[in-house]
Amino acid sequence: MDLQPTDLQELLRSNAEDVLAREAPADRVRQMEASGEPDAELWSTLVDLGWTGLAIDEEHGGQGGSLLDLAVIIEQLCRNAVLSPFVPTALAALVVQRHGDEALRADLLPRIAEGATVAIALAEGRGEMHDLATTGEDGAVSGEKRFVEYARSTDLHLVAASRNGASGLAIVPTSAEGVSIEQDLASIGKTPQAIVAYDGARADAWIEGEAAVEDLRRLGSALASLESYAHAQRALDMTVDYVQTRVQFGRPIGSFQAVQMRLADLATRVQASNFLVHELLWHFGEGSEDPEQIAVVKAVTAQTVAQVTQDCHLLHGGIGFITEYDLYFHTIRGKEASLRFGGAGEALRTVANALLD
Amino acid sequence: MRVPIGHRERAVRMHYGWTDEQLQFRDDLRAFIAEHRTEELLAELDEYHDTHEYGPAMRRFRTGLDEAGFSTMAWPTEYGGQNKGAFYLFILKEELEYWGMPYDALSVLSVGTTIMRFGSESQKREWLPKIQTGEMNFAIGYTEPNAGTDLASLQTRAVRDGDEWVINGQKIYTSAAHNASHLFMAARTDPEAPKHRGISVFVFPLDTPGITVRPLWTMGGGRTNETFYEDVRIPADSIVGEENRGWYTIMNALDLERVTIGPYAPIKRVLDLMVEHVREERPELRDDPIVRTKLAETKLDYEIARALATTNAAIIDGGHTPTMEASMTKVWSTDMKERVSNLAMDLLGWEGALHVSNGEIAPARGDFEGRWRLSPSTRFGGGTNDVQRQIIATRGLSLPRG
Ligand SMILES: Cc1cc2nc3c(=O)[nH]c(=O)nc-3n(C[C@H](O)[C@H](O)[C@H](O)COP(=O)(O)OP(=O)(O)OC[C@H]3O[C@@H](n4cnc5c(N)ncnc54)[C@H](O)[C@@H]3O)c2cc1C
Repeated sequence: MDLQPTDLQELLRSNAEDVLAREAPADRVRQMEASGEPDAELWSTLVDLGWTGLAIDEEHGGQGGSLLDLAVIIEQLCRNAVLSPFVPTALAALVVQRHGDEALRADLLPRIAEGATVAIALAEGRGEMHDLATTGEDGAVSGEKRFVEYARSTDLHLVAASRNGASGLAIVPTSAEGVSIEQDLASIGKTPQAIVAYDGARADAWIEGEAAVEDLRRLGSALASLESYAHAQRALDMTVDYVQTRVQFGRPIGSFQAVQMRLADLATRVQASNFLVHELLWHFGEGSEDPEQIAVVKAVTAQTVAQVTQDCHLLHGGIGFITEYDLYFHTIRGKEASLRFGGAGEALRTVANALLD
Repeated sequence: MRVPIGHRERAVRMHYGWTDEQLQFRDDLRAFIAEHRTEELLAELDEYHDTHEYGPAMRRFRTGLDEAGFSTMAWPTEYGGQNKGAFYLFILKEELEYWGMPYDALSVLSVGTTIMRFGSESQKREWLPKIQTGEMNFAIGYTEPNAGTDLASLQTRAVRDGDEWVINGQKIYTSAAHNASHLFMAARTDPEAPKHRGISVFVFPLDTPGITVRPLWTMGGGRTNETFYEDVRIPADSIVGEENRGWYTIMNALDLERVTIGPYAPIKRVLDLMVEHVREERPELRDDPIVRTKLAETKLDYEIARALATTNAAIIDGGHTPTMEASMTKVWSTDMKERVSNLAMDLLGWEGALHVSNGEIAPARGDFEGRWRLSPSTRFGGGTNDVQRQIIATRGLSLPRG
């Protein structure tokens, strides 16, 4: 066991810190929130830096990085509260790489590396991810998907659907006839998302099999856990800094025991989440991921991010509640991430079933 | 003179039931709320979170509350109230909170009763009737950038100049300063005195020249303000209570808030909404033992909140001042409000994130999401929860101060 980041990961992290400090300062993030659209200029910067191809094989135009390398970038995007289709696009690329046939990989992966964006269209109804009603008979996708993040702005939708009685994933261009946005959804984290109707929309390609759909759910959950952790870590770091500068009763509030005890508890949870999410991503790389553990990590990080962000607000007092200050970014984005691909309740059910059945 | 808001002779020492009269009051109140809680009002309330502006239905409700005698029910009869005990106020506040109905408690309860206790005869004659009708309503100007929990270190200055006071300084989080009629402000009148002994309290119109109000938007969706005071001249008789005794006036205002400090209604509301949503919209969750356990636990959390809040109200109703009981109530109910709304979202998953603006599709009209986003402010407002815990330990359990 060696938990040290590699040299490459260190380099990625410091590059990402510099680039995002410059290209995605908080006022620009607020503009993204207000416009409800990702920042096209920022996206082309990320593409130029090679981040969109980071975890794509070299033979398909990427850099052949690991999931843990990708995690470095995702964590930095979260630390800067950036709204971008980076995670859904990376998730789609991973699923295509792991399950697509060679023709699809050779077509799609280089396009993604060069900046094509993908939305994930999985959940239906009130968040159902398993018994899906969407069909794709004869390559024409029909059904309604919800919580489709960046549905409007992405180039492609990866749509979970069944055809000939078997589940799979359809790749549908957003511009295809029969794809329509039924309703934009306002979500706690301000990530743009929508209800999308597919009415006989023609798929460009298919990934066959339930295994691919299940991998989408699992990897999606793991990346959402990573985001939850990253927001909790950032909120904690901001608060540790803040309590050292905020003075009440003639002392930094960080010198009060009540503040110290609370922060110590939060730091303990965040420390554990850090290990658990990275361990989990490592298992994905090794092909040894386990559904129970995916659910454990989802529930732990969900609990962590909610408690940490709320307690960081308590420790900040009024200032943290004001949107001119940056703490709330992590509260709302972190909570949103923890609900993506199912909430902690569902994760607990999975854990209980794995233990007892 | 001490104005008894809650004092009544009690014939029976221990009695865990409500009187017939109290039950009747609650029924009347419920009927009144049901009548006013129209779709129009609900739509206005959804908007209110963002705008803080009363719509026509909300204004009708405010007037109705007044006409039915509910709003100033706890005031003494000599000021137009009904001298109803603290329990009535308690029932009123719980019902209004449960249904999410607007009520100007700050002006009517905190400021109104403080003026009764400390105000001059002419202040009482002039202001109280206007407070009763809502014509006169308040923003509270206590907190400053460097004086939050350490409120007594506030620096805004009020200097006497002939028959005027001249105010200079800055306040922060002056909620409602953009739409209230008056400010209830604490300012330093003696910079030489020890910090608790050089503060006075003033009431003046917010349209007095020299006041600048700048919005601060909150993650809860609503607005508070930064306010700046530059040579703001107000008449000498704008002072409430004795000069330099303002700290005690402020503390008293906080005291009076205590009967409503930690309502249990929000927890009950979340529980009821969750039960309704699961039964009607998420049948698959209804049979889930985890959901069942978590909702049962929420019921326990609610019962604890109800126990603490009722104990606190009973102390006040008996004419005494709660210390740790108020703090226990406040800490539990505000911490729990966060936890139960969080739990609801966690059990619902993806759809739990939906905001009220999505309309029908958002579970419970976005109640859980909105409540969770708002909950930080109740945990650190009104005396932060960690400071309340210190009060429980030192004043309540008599532990030495650290
Ligand atoms: C939405 C909103 C509305 C508000 N409305 C009003 C209003 O209308 N009028 C008004 O006057 N004010 C208002 N406030 C201000 C509110 O009362 C203050 O935010 C609160 O008193 C805390 O002060 P602070 O924000 O300066 O936090 P701080 O005092 O800086 O506290 C930060 C942290 O330090 C901790 N801390 C401080 N001292 C100690 C200690 N001795 N021991 C242990 N821990 C300590 C606190 O518990 C807290 O966790 C409002 C605030 C908000 C956000």
